[in-house]
Amino acid sequence: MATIARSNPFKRRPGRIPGFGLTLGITLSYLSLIVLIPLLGLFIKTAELTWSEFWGTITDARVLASFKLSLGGSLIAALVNLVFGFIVAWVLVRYSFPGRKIVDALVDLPFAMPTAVSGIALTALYAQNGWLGGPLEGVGIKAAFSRMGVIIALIFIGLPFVVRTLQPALADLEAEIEEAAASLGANRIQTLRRVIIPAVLPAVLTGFALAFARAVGEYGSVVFISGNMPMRTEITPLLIITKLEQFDYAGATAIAVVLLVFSFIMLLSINILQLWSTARSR
Amino acid sequence: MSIQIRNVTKTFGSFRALDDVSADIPTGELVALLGPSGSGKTTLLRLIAGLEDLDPGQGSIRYYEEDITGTPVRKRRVGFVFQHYALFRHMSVFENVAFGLKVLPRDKRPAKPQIKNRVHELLRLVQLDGLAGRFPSQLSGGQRQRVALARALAVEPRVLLLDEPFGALDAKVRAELRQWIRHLHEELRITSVFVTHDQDEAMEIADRVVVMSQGRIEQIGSPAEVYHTPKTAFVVNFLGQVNTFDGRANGRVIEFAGIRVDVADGRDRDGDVRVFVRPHEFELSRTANGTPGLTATILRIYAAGSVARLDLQLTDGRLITAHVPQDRFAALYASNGDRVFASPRRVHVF
Repeated sequence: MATIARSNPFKRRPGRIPGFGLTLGITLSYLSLIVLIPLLGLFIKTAELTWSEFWGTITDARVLASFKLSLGGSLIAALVNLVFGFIVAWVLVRYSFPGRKIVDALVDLPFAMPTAVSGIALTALYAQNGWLGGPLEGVGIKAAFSRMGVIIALIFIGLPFVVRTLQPALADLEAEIEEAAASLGANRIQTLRRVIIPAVLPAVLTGFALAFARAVGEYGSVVFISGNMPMRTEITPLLIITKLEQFDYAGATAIAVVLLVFSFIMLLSINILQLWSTARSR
Repeated sequence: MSIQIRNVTKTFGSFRALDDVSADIPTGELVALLGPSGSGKTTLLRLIAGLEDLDPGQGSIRYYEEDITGTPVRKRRVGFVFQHYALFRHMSVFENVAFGLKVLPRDKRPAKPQIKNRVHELLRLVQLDGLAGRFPSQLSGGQRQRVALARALAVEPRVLLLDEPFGALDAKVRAELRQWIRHLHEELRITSVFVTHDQDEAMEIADRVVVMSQGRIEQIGSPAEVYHTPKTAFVVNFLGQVNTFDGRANGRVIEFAGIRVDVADGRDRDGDVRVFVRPHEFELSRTANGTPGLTATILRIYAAGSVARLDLQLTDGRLITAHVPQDRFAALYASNGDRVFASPRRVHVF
């Protein structure tokens, strides 16, 4: 038995916590069914194209412009959410004030609303004749039907990811370490920079990654507010839909594959960064 | 650096945590703030540190002659040690201890090699020099508390404040660490204040004990003073085991549990009083020997330990406890169910 246990890596954990084989089996089958096989299909469908067809599709000027907007916009939106999501999470964790529960529940709204509804609401609000769009137009900022509109929608749908990831990490941080830093002579900026942020860095990175990933794939809320002008405000998911509507399935999956690879590299590097920052604190 | 606390009041909402408290903490002493939970001892420590603000206009706190009532904690140069260590968990032991030096303004900050020397010097002092590269999660509770202490000492604090420093440790480590803190204090002589609810701890290592209850100071004195000449009923009760009786006073004579004793503290009392007798202040004998004694039956004997502990039942059914030195106990030839006379050598009356 002992030799078997040593030679078979899946049996390395004997007895103590039973069910390892079973749960790992379920995990792999489930992930295959739900995630891997559909993604594999994407690659297989794309393989119908010749290399030059593939290259032609994904380097089309209109497609490249959409990549730039989708990835760039998602990055900006995730960064904005990181800063303000941190502040929201901080306020919700550290202070008690009347209405805190309501504010806390508000954070989840972008999760719960159908994205089309949020898209229409944001458009109505930021359009030229909207409550916010009007005044912004007055100072020369065109919010809806512009790249900024895209980013506004991506910020909206990404916020809960950052807040909900950071909340438990901040709650876990005792208020005493701030007092310790202060007693050692650190001012608020030094405490924030040297003590608080490094301690919650893994959660910060996770929240950022989730908000980014969600934004890259977002469709419903963006298409209303963006105006969908080719080369300017057309996001990649919209281009994919357009191709599908023209029955260009291979073209659609080719674009999807590129988006997928980009996102995967991005998430992987964040994960590695996170591993490194966690290793430092454990 | 001495500390003067003058008429300090602190309220949280409608709760009065400290009520007009004044105390002097002399330079270089190790002082214990002792009391049950809710007595205000931690609040007082946090006020001395500046982690809490005084109620506006209610009293003042000075370090030596300098009024620091309104000074924020980071400018007070205090070393503060927390019950649950409050170490920075993403920093190594070295970085934790160096923190206070690294956040100094540029013109006061030592150069890197000096910081390194200073940190290693401190780690040697707390006997952790080999563990500079470890993270807090890799240390035991006692080691973490010593890192916290080294970190607090790095800024050369004017006063060292410790909030239940041994509270989170198990009994053996606790006993070792408090001896070690006492030695360290003798070496460094920094004015130090620590909070504890454990009277043994306070009695064992403090030069001076401040006994607190319900936001007020009951008594300040050396461990021997507060133990042997308690000023209030609370102090007698809180510092060790005690037998309590209701009595009546008539001048210097106190009558309780059917006996009369003279109280030789030079004070006249009248009316209802509370009488306290510590277990070791009973003299036991098998026969009435002329001194006023309580007649009692032995219920149970705990013979193990430095003294024999006896549970006694009085004729009216009340239970009392007496402690007798082992040789005296052996000379009594007493066992369960025997009748004895317990004469108080000394009583505390309030």
